[in-house]
Amino acid sequence: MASSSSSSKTGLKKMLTLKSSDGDEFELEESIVIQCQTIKHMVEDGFSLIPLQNVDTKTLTKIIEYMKKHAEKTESNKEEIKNFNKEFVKGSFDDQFELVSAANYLHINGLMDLLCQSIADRINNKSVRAVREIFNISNDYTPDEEEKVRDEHKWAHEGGEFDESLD
Amino acid sequence: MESSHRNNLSINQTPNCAVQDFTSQLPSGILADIFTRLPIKAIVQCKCVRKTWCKLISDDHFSSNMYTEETPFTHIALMDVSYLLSRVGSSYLLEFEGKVHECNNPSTLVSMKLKSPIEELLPVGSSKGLFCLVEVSLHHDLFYINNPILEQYVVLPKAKRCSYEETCTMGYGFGYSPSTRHFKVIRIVTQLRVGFEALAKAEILTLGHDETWRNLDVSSIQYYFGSCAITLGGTLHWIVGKFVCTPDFKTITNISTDLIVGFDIDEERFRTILLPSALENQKKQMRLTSVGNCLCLGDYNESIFQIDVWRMEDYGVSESWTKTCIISTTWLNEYSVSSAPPMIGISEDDQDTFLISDLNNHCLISYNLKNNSWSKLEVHGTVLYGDFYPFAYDPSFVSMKDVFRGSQLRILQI
Repeated sequence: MASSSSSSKTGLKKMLTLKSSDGDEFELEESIVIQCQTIKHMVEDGFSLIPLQNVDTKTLTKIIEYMKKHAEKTESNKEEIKNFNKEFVKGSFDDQFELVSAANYLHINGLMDLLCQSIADRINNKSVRAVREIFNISNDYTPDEEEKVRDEHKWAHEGGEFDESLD
Repeated sequence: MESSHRNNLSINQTPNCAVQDFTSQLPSGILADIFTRLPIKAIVQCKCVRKTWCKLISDDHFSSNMYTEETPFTHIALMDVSYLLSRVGSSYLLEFEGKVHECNNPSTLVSMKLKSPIEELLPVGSSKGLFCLVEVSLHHDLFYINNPILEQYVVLPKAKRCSYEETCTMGYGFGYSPSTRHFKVIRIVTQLRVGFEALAKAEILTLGHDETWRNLDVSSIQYYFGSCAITLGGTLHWIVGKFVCTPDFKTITNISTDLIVGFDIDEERFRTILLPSALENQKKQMRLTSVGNCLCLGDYNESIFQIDVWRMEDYGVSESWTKTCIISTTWLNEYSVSSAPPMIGISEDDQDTFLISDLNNHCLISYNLKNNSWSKLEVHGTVLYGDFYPFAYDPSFVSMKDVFRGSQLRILQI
């Protein structure tokens, strides 16, 4: 259970309700939710029921899981949080893109960092073709145009092995 | 058309989701954030993935905003200046993954050889991803402005040397004026005159704007200039000195390096900055650099193997020079050249680090000012022979065609 020193001064834990775009409600301690800058500002404005029209239930559940874990962060459980983060980004890309959009909308900096880095790690060292396939990116270059862009930066496409795998 | 492409590419997707290109729905800011976490080579490759990616990466906003304190990469250019000793100079771009001050001992850096428009160019400086290089000959200076990532360059109008029977020292500078968005190159030619004080002349060229070099008023700065300038807050800085030379030009007497000259790139005005008073009338071997937002001086004493580092806490106020630390240069104990080793200051997370060229052992030394600790940085993929000077470098992916749009400059491809 998250012990929070920053919860309300009276000792009572202040609760907030988050409502997903699907209409599901989640009750959470304020101390957990204020990791999210967007909600923090709404709380400061006196809201206690917070509708999140851009976040569906599936994504919100993941985000709450992240916030709960990170609210427990102390000096001694760094390793545990690291492992949690590692597991957290293992989902499919669709889920990750949903999450990154939501994290951006909600301004959860730590989560943004984690997700952007995880996506970048998947791109790094991959061939152009593999990147397209991994992310389902349609190639909008004509073969001639693509050849031209490659030609402009020959050095970047030479030397070193590029990973063609899709993991 | 797009959907048919998607269908072709949809082989390994999880069956429960509609095949969709999520990257195209991401706000461009998030995509840019993801790109900044990639090494330069991978960013360049990403330009080939999709037109929109190419556009985003080539946009000025991306290059201008990507290299902040939070960026996982730090870039340093290492330029060989030893071509003057009739060796071919090469340059490397070092890409540090992680913070410089967190580099472990021994650390490995990724390096890329930088292509130069022609061989044997002397580095002048770098600004916003562009390098200024100069070809020095008896009759003229020929400047090249080069984006090594995009392998593009321009050649500037020739600058005549002073009458070539005379002996000169040269000071060069390259900088950017944010208010006018112009790049400028400045050169200061100081003529050595037997029995007299130096006679300096300065010329400036605004890239894409001036067709010929313009003269600058230098009546207040009759000094000889160290060749490369240090940029800090829109001002170029050189260590300068005064001397009188003997008739054979071989011996220079009465050397006193007791000033820094600053040149405001915007206003095109010179100013002088005094050195720490403790260094007055002392024998000095100095390197100028900056760390954080402060000018820094490294004064090297070869007899006791140490560099005294001075920092000007309050810019322009000579009383604010403070001796920040003493770097014990035990690793330089066989340093054969008696001049101060080239160094550059880097500030990250309130930690100041100096990268110092160890020309003797062909490596870089990273010196952490907070812990007074040093480590040797091995450079992967190359052996650093020659006189390598570290330069600050922020990569730019903006085509020089866009940087100099509307100007007469001819963009050439290496």
